[in-house]
Amino acid sequence: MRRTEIIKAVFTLVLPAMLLLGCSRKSAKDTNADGLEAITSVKELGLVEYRVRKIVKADDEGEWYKIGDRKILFSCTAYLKAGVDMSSFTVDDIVMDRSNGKVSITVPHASLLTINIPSSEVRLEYDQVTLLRSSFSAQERNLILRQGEKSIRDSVPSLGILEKAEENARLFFEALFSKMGFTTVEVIFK
Amino acid sequence: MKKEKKKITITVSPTVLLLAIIVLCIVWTLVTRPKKEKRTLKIDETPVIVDRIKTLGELNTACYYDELVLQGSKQNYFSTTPLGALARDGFGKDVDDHLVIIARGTVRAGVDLLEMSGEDIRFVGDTVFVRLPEAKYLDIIVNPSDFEVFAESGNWTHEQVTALQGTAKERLLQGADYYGLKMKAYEGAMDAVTTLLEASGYSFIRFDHSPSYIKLPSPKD
Repeated sequence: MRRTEIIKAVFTLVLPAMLLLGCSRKSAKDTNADGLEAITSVKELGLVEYRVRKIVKADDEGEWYKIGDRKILFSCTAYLKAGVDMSSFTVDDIVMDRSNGKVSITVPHASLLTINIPSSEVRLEYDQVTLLRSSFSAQERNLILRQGEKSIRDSVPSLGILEKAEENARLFFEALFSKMGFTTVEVIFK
Repeated sequence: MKKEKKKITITVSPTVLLLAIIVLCIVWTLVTRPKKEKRTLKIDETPVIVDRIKTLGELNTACYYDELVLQGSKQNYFSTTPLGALARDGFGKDVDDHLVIIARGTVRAGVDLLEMSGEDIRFVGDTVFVRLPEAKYLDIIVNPSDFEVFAESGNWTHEQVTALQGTAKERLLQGADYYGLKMKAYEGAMDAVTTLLEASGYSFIRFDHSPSYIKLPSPKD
């Protein structure tokens, strides 16, 4: 009798209390976001844009107790912009020799500035779910697309976009300083 | 006197015996089955194909960031039935499907230097006359990693989710307009160009074109 009462007490008091504590802790974490300003100033020179296509496909065989599988296939388009971040640019980064018509400018190495995967350019091409499985939820589809986004980010070094951005930066500064009357323009990436 | 041994007889019904055998078989299978990798969602590796390369000359000087809550609701099969109508109208129960997404988006603004012609920058002695193009929104970015599905009930197709996500773009632009992002971007562009030209040895930089959203003091002031 006594044991039954204890078990009842555990289920009626302790477990709900634990669940409530768990919930309150989670919500506290959710609201603990870093303070961000709505408007921020940047100085970035975007020099090249790559439009890339990627197929994102996933196969969900499920756990052993689930019967059947699910497959999904997306095609998406992403826009990658690369350029140089000029926020650290100072007067000391330009060295001029006007008498000889020479100028040297030092800028940071090119970096990926943005990756943009518009949701309107993500197409669901194929979706197959067997009878005993539930269809892909919005959350699951989003998780799959996140993996695709990560894969695109990871592929940046192999795309040659940074090299292209530095090539364009060289052309950009050469054109600018040539207009100022300089005959020799040296662009150094640090 | 010899003590009589008690005979204990247990009668097991065939059904119980059969169930016990089945349970034993299942346990045996689970214990002895080879350990496989956890069968979860598998994302296949596919190549990234470069479709187009475009040369840019964008001077991005201001960004607007916002977090939005996108909410969508739609009727489902149950809510269209008389029972669903009763639950909704009679008991005030919400029987529709709901989707709540948190979107974290960025609007980037700046000037497109490729829109400048040779006449837009003139060097006269130690003075430079610059006519910058108007600032514009260069990117509105809300990637899959910027979306978080907070709550979901019922079945939502990809197209329905995309339509809901699309509303984030309009709201981000409204926010950017409200904060005067274009004006801030134009000011930032003037600042960046001034820094570059001053570093190149020019003492006076004159911006002889101002977009409508920049209010310059009149000569009388």
